[in-house]
Amino acid sequence: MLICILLLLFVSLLNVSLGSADLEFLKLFNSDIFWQLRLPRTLTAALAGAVLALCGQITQILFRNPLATPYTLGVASSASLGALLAMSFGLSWSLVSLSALGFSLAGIALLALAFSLKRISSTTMLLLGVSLNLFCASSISVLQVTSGKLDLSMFLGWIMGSVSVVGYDAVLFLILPSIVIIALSFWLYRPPALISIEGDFAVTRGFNPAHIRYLLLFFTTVAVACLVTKLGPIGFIGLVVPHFSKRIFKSDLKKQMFGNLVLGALVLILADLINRVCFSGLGLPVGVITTALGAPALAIILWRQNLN
Amino acid sequence: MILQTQNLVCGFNKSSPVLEGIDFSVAKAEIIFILGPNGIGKSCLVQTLSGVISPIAGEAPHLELSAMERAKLASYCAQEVIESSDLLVENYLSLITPTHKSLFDLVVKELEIKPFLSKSLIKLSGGERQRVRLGACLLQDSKVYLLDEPTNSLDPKPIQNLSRLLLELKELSKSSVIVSHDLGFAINTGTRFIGIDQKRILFDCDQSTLREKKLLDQLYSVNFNWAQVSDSRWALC
Repeated sequence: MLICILLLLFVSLLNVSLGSADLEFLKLFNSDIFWQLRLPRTLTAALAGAVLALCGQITQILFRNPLATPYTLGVASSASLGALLAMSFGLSWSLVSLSALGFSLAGIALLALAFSLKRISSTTMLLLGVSLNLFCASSISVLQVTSGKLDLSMFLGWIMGSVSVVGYDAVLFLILPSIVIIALSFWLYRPPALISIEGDFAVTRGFNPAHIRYLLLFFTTVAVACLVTKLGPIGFIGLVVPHFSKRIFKSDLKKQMFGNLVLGALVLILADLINRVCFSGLGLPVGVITTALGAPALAIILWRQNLN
Repeated sequence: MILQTQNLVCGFNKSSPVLEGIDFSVAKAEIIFILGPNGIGKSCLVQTLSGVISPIAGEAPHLELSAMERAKLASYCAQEVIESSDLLVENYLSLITPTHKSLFDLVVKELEIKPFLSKSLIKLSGGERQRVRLGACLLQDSKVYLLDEPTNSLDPKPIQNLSRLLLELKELSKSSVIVSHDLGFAINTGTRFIGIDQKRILFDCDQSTLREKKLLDQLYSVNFNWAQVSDSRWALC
């Protein structure tokens, strides 16, 4: 754990000190580049990475399925659809955010409704989420092609997810939902831990598994929707990082949760660093890097898991 | 009475109830076995009693309690096996509340869980996992235990240990409601037997009535011979 925290600090330090403008450390410390660009960018990446990884783990626990993430459940793509719809009407940013939040909550509400109307299994709910995800993705494609008001390059940059922020707007916007979901998942620790083992049969353990699932899913959705609105759907962190942290911090759920916060932040800052240092000329969104690194990483983990 | 139901109708689907008009109550220090052929609705009954599924109609006042109060009243062990979780057995057991040290020691000793306390759940064998699941249910300090097929994947010795443990817990005035197809285990552990057939309670009696009236023969359509092994032990053949 200590090594991970030290690594995180080291990578953060690298991320604030390296960049296209090559400045001496003292000069850098007094410059706007540090205070208005690199520091907020690193903080945003840390916050986003940590929350995405934790939310990924929470959904994996609640659905007892290693593929469940807010993304596979359709939270991110319904938020994207909401944001895109608002963008194509040329609405202001605050309305775009609101629309993204509204759409993702509506998506989850739809799943919850299906769950309460009929006693469906958590696997079925996950599959419903996947179809919601695909439906939103295809609607997004339709909008992309048909909407005239849309700035396509801006939209494409946004849809891959990016942490290139200026100033502290994003950090301030994200800090509250992040704190809520982090605090809630550590404070509630016991019910999700029991759900991860006993599932819906944990009915005599002093809590209602369905209520816990709704509560955590609601706050996960809010946190992820805020992230998606501000930064775009940054892919793969929620899916891959929890698997890493499971491998490293075996058998202790609290350590795994903490590990997700640290590793999530580490991975996203690292991706941002690689992006800015190695591909500085291209101006790639960071989501491309996380997906490009995340996909093979997941494949390797699953391959090794099968070998064991 | 610890637990009571009146005219309870249970099932997974409102239009086709599995059980109807179920009236029964659980008193202190009873070990009640729910018996009946496969697919007759035994699991459905304990799932309703524990709160996994809601009753279609009828009364069961304990289901109105808050989740916390219900945990003090009942602890449920489902038939379904644990899915692969990599938590350690001791971490899992430490999540169970309310419990106290003497109960923990008794359960861990009788179910012989100690050797794999520091193993992860995923690495346990089927029988070991079943013992951990039973342990997690029984060490919750509740008044009644609802066990669905507790002897699944257990060897003869752990079954004997479980039987002894349930009787020891009965001495602590705790009750159990057990669904089981293991009749040898049932007749040597139970104090009361409820037979279910055709959606209803067919009989509700003690062991000697069960034996003398040949109620099991009627329930399972098989001819059983009761052989006395020792003062208090019987075998069915």
